[in-house]
Amino acid sequence: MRSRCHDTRVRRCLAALLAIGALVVSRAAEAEPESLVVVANDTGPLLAASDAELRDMFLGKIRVVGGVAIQPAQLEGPARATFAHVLLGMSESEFQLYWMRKSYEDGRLPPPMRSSSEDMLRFVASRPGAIGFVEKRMVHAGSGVRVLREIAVEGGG
Amino acid sequence: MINVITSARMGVAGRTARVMLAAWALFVVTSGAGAAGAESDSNEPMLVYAPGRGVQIDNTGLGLGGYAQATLERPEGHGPSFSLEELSLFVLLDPSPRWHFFSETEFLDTLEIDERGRVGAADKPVVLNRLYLDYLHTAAINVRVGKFLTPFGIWNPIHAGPLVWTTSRPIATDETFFDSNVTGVMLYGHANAGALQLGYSAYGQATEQLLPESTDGRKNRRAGGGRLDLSTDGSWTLGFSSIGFDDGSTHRWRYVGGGDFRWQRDFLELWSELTVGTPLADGGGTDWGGYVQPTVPLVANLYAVCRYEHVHTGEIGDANLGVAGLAYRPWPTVVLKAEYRFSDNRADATAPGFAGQLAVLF
Repeated sequence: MRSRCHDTRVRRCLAALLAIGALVVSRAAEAEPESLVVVANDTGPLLAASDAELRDMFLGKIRVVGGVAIQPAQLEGPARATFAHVLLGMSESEFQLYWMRKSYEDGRLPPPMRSSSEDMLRFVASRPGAIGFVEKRMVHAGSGVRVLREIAVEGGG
Repeated sequence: MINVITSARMGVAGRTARVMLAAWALFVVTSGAGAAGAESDSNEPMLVYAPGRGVQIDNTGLGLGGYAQATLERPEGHGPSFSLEELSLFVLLDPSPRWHFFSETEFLDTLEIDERGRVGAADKPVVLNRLYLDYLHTAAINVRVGKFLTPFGIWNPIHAGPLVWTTSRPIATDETFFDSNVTGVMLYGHANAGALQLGYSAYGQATEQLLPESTDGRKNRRAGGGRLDLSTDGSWTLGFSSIGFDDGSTHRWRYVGGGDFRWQRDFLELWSELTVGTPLADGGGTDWGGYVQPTVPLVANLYAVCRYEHVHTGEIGDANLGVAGLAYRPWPTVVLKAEYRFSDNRADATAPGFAGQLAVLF
């Protein structure tokens, strides 16, 4: 009786440990940073851009290229922080504060937020001047976008 | 009661206003409607709202936004007073890639409770703070026509409550020295030189201010000026501004120059401005003022801010002003501020006391 009770307790402990382990592994996988790519519309005027030009586009300083309005968009989630840090040299909060002030000063609205990589790809593919960033693995031939820059993340896929 | 701008006041700058509004109407008729679909895809127009980003109507180039701020003040020796100080509404339109329209209408002091508890509203009109059209040629060359904020220093171009850290504004940045708006034409742009970014603006005003905020304001009739700023990747900016204007109150030209420095990293910020102006009255000395303002993040969206300012003007005399306060940002677009201003000068503009503000960008 006593050993059965002990076995049950051990089994429960093991099950709990396994559950916690699974949770930790899944969270770790979730938090795994992914490599990003900056994408532009496939048929738009942006064939290539230097880092400085990309930064100026996402900071609203370059607004027209080849007669087409540049429309930067932001991707929700951890990719935004990676993008801001690597390409813009800012933290995510600095990027947000920058745009709050910039939009007031210049009388513009900040770049719209896209909820997922699929949503971002649809946005960029449907506007000739659109530019955004998505997870690299999401870009396939026929996405309607052109990759301008890869943002490699240490340990990222 | 709120006063909508009267026909008498319209008369002050009525001609300018009519010309500009007619030009705008013509612009909308000729380019707006047709351009609405310039970037459209097969999607239906969609109304998208996000805090701080306003409402964007997809595929039309039309956006709406604004901010509101409510202020509580208790100067030393007086009771507390409250005002719904500002409700500001933006309308912007990008009818084609190269054209950008923006307007900002302010509703000032629409609700006030004075120190005796009396409820009312200020005898101030609805104010057209900005109304302009941009032509975007390249990053280095752009043209703005209309009424816009004077590009002088750090504070004036971003003076909205949700964007600054204190309720009170440094005197070195206010109308003691220069008018906050210009009605005219501005050439502006920026260029990169290695890791450095250079921004510039040069502007001129050849007529009276379009719909000025207050009849006892400066009422500049002519003005001209410019600004140069140098920055690196957004962490620091060094700027130089100047303006000369035909001062409506004294009927003489006044020249004002200034330098400013801003450094920021993860909400740790340091702002500083120095403004120097020729005297407004004969025999007066040079007016000048400057401030240093660090902001430090504490915990959980709470920030400490302090400011030291010294001003010397013919109107105020000498004043040493200190501000110590806290700012709480529960969300990036909402800020709650509380501060105490110390002063060794009892003029209205420099009176010591408590001030608090709730400001929301929507």
